[in-house]
Amino acid sequence: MDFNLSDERRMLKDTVERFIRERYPIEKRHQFAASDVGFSHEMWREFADLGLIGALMPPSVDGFGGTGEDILLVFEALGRGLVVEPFLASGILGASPLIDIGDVATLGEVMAGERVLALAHGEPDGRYNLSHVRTRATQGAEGWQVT
Amino acid sequence: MDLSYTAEEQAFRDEVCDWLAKRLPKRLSTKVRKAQRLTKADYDEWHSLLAERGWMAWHWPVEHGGTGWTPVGKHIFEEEMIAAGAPRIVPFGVNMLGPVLIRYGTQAQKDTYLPRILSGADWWAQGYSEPGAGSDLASLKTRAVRDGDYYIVNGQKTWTTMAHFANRIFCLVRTDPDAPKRQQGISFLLIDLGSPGIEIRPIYTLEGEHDVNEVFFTDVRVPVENLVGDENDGWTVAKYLLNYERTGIAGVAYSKQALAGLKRVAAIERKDGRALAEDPYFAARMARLEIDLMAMEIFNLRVVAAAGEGKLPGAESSLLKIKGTQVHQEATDLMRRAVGPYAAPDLPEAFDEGWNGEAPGPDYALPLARSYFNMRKASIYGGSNEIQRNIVAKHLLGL
Repeated sequence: MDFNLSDERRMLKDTVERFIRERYPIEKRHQFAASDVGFSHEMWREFADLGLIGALMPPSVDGFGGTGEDILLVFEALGRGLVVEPFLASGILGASPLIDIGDVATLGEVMAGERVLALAHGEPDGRYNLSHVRTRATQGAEGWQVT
Repeated sequence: MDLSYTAEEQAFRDEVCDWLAKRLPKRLSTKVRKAQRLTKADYDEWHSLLAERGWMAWHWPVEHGGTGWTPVGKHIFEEEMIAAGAPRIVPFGVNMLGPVLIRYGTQAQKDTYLPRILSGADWWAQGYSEPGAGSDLASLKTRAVRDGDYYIVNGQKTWTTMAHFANRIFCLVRTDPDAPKRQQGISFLLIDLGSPGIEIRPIYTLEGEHDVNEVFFTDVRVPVENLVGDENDGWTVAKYLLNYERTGIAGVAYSKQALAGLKRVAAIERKDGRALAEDPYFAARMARLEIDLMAMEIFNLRVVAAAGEGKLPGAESSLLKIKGTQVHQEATDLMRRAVGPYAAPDLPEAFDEGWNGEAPGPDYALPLARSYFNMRKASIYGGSNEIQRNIVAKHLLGL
C-alpha cells in the first residue's frame, strides 16, 4: 500500500498550495464570499489559468487529470484555503454528465474559467433522495420543454 | 408523595395565563415565535408591563417590590411565559444585582439602584468573564486600585451579554493581587458604562448575531461608594448570586417549546412520501428527546419543590445544567435536521421586524440553523458541562 504522491502530482500540489497561500488570503476570501455572487469570477479565471479546473477533467475531453488522485489533491488545497469558487458545482457535479457525453466545447469553456455550471438535481420534496424526480422533460419540434 | 399541583398553584397558573393573554402584546410574541431580533425597546416594553403588574422581581422580598412567589410559583410563571411566546426577562439587573444589593448593599445603594432596576431606568450588564478567566473565574485580572475616593479600574471583560444595550455594569475586580487565595482578593464594583475610558466592542457569535461583547477599561474612575460588600469580599457576593440561577437553569420550559415546534415541523416535512415524524430513525430520536425531557422535568420539579421547603439545591443544579443543556441542544439539532437542505440558506435580514421577503423554503426553516449554532454555547456557559461533571463527581459521587 503506497500513499505517496508521484513527483508530478507533488509538483501540482505544491503549485496549487502556494498559489492559494499567496493569492487567496482569508480576508479576500471573506470578501468574495460576501459578494452578491458569492465568489469571484476574476479568481475563477486565475484558477483556470493555473490549470486547476483542467486538472479535474480527463484527457478524453481535453483535460489533463480527472482521476480520483487529481480531484483529491485539488480539493484538499481548496479546503485548506476555504476557497469559495464553484469547483464542486462546475468542475465535478456539472461537468460529470458533460464528460459522459463528450461535450468538449462546453467543458473547454469551463476549463478556461469562462463558464460556470450548476447541476439542478434537488427538488423541494426530495430531501436527499436522488431518485425523487418529478420534473418532466418532453421533446417537441422546437426542442425540450422542461416543467 | 403527591406530584400534582395544589389548588392554589393551579389558580395561580390560570391567573398568569389570563394576564398573559390580555397583556402580552401580539407584536412581541410574534417576534419571539419567528426568532426575530428583539430590540432594547422590545425588552423595555415587556419589562414595564411586568413591572406594572408587580411581576418583574421574582427573587426580591415583597417589601422591596418582589412578587413573594414560592419556587413552584416561579416555575409555573416561567413555563406559561415561555409557552405564550413572551420575551425572556433580561436577568442581570433584576435577577442578579437586585438580590445582591438587597443582601449586601448599603441603604444608599438600595435606595438609588433598586427602583431604577424596576423602572428600566438602568440596564445592567454582568462583568465577570475575562479572556483568561472563564471557567476559572477566580483567576480574573481586571484590576481596581484605590486612589483617594476612587478606584482606578484597568482590564477587560468578555462575553458580556447585551453590554451594548446597558448603561451600567457590575464587575468582579481584583483589589488585592497578593491575597493568599485568589478568591480573597476580589471585590464587587458597580460601574457606569458612560465613564471615560470604557470601550465596548461587539463579538459576533457563530450564527452571525451580536448578543455579546468585549468591554475594555482604561483608567476608569469608579467612586468608592460603588463598592458592594466589603473590599476583597467580592467572591462571597458573587457566590450568593449563583443561588438565584439554580432552579431555573435546566431551561425545561424552553425545551418543551422546542419539542412542540419539532413535532409540528416533523408532521409537515416529507421523506420518501410520508411525514418525517413517521420515519423510524427520526421518530426514534424524537422519542429519545421527549423521554429525556420528561425525566428532566420531573427531576427539576423535585428540586423546585425541595427549594420551596428551604432545601436549596447543591450539586443537583449541576445535573440540571448538564442534562438541560444537552436536551435543548438536541432539540435544536433535530429541528435543523428536520428541514434537510432548507436549513442551509441564511438570510440575516429576515430576522428584522417587518421583513416582507420570501424564504427559499418554508418560513419555519429560516431560523433553525441559527438556533442550532447559537445553542452551541449552552454546554459552555454558566459553568461548562465539563466543570459541572467535575462537581457531580466530587459532591455526588464522592470521587
